[in-house]
Amino acid sequence: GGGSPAAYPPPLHPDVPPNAAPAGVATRLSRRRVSCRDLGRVDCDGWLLKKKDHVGFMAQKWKRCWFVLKGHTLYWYHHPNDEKAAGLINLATYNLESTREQKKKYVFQLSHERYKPFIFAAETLADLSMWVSHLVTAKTKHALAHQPVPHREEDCYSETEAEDPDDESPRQGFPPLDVGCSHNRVAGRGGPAGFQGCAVLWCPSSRPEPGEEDLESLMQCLKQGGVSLIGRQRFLTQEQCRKSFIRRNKNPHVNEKVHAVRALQSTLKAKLAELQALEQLLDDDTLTSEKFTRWKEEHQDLYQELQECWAQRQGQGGGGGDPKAEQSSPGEAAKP
Amino acid sequence: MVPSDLTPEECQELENIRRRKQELLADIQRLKDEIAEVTNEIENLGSTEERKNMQRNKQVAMGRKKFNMDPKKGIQFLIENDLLKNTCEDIAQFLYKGEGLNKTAIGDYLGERDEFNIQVLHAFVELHEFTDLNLVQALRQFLWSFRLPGEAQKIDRMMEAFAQRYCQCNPGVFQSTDTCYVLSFAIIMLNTSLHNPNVKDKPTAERFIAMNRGINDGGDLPEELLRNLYESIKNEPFKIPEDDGNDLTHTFFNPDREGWLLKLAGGRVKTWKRRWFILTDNCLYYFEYTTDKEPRGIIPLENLSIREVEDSKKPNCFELYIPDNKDQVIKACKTEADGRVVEGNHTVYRISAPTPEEKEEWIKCIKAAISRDPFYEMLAARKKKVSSTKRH
Repeated sequence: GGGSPAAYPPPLHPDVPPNAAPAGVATRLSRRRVSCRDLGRVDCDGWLLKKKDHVGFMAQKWKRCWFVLKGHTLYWYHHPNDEKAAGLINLATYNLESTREQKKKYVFQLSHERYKPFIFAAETLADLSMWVSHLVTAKTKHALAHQPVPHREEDCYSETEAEDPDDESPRQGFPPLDVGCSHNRVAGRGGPAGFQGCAVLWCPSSRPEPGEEDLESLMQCLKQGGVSLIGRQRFLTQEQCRKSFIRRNKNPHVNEKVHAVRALQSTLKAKLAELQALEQLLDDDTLTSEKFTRWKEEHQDLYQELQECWAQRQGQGGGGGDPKAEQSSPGEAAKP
Repeated sequence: MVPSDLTPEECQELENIRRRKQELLADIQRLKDEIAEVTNEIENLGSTEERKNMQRNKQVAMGRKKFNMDPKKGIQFLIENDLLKNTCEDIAQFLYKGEGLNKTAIGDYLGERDEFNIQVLHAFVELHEFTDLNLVQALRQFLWSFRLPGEAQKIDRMMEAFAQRYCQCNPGVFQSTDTCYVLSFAIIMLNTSLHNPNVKDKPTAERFIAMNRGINDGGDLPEELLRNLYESIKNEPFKIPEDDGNDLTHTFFNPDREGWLLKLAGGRVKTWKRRWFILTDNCLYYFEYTTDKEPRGIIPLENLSIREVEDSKKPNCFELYIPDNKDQVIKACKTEADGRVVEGNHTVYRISAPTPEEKEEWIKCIKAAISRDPFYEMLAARKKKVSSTKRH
């Protein structure tokens, strides 16, 4: 017959761990207050990446957690030795679906019609297969046992993140779908055949090999810390770049001279470039008015400079004036 | 000869331009002379007369000083004064002994791309005895003998030489040099992630082992080996030559590129400003005048991307922007006219080059300078190579 409406929250599973609160008094926290040890024999466990809901500036989007599947509850821990789980999901209330993620290849998600989905990434194809297979089996078993699907939020999932005091409404509503995100329903029934059908639905985007991904994630850690491979501070700040430019040598006399040379060399380069522009014009045997005009357009700033310089000389009565003529133009620079 | 259709005014202008060219040639010669003079002053750190009368040990001290300021020039000086033989073995010995030598300078010299420097690198590595040392022990020895430079290509050359030498001294430990190379990097990164306080996510031994699956030409290295290496690093970090902030072996400027460019200035009214740009040390500096001592603005190129763009007002344009993060402001800053340094508020830098050729050159040089995890790409390529090799 039809399932009886739950008058009080039923225990999560017949194999409820010993130190969980008795049925009827289960709270969010108490359901998670179970260590891996306490769970005893489990159906599946391993490391997975879990996508964070709220990501701070430059923080990592994914957190690596230790996941444990027992019955139809999926627990996760920040560390296998933790005394309590960071979160759990009642699989009976969620659907297993495929999804796409920009930087991850082996992803899947658990979605709910009311709450935000949980998105996971496995590190290898083998891991992905293993988890999907076990999750499908778990859901199938639950369905076959004709157990009612709970509806209250605390019966569906629980996690530390959600209980963060800053976080008022943890998982209400859906986030806007990413463009290009595709969802495929995976039937919870049918056991192995269901999984086989499932395999076809996964279409990972081309991403680096998971082995490299491990190295990449290690590199990312280093990058987050603002350090290079060997632990040196990278040039993250403009202040460091500035210092590197200004201070070339601990001897201040040498330092000053080095800067003098640099300024001379830059000025020299600028003058050589100007020379090249002039020669392009002067060496043209077939110069026409049109070509000249075009040259003036192409070398606007230089032409303007020249004009100002000649105007000055006219004003001074002509004759060999200051060959540098730097003052009028913001372009060239005075010799130090 | 084609009859010219130039107006009298234009002819006069041409005359002026001819005169200007002569002035320029004089300027240029003067500049060259001055540069040579000041450079000489820096290099000699004293009058040229003194040099001839200097005693041998003073010359050696001078040579070391020069080396620490600019390794190539230092070696040249020592060779010219018969204090060092111009062979890779001799120079390698000199560097290996390292007496009075700055380790950063040693690293810089060994990492250079020149054929000769590469030979010196190999001779240097041959002087290291790695037989019967485990990889961590060998790395400890190697990485203490000089300071690993920052540039990816240099690191690649040096670690490749290291891996070859290690495998030569300890045959059979690794299936290939590539395996040794990749594992060495993994160890270096492990060292940094475990011991650098800025790195939050510290890997466990299990993770380290998992990370190196398939590294031995498709096979796995013995777990015990990896675990030992992990423990060794965990218990004792690498001792790396200190960076005391006085490591200034890049005394002389040697920019990748410099020249005039137009920059679209932000703010309420956007205008194009002509600035002298210098690309050096993975950073783009710009100045109002070529002689300005301090840059007007600084654009660190780390994490930036570059693309060509069309602009309605100016030709030959390109942009510097942060990929994947449209709202993030580029971490650049500039000096206001009153000397204050303020954070730039650009999300993009739009720049116009004088000609299409220059635009191409700038884009090429900037791309080369932008570091986008070059290690990762190199490492990934190598790792792919070792992992995809079929098991026997």
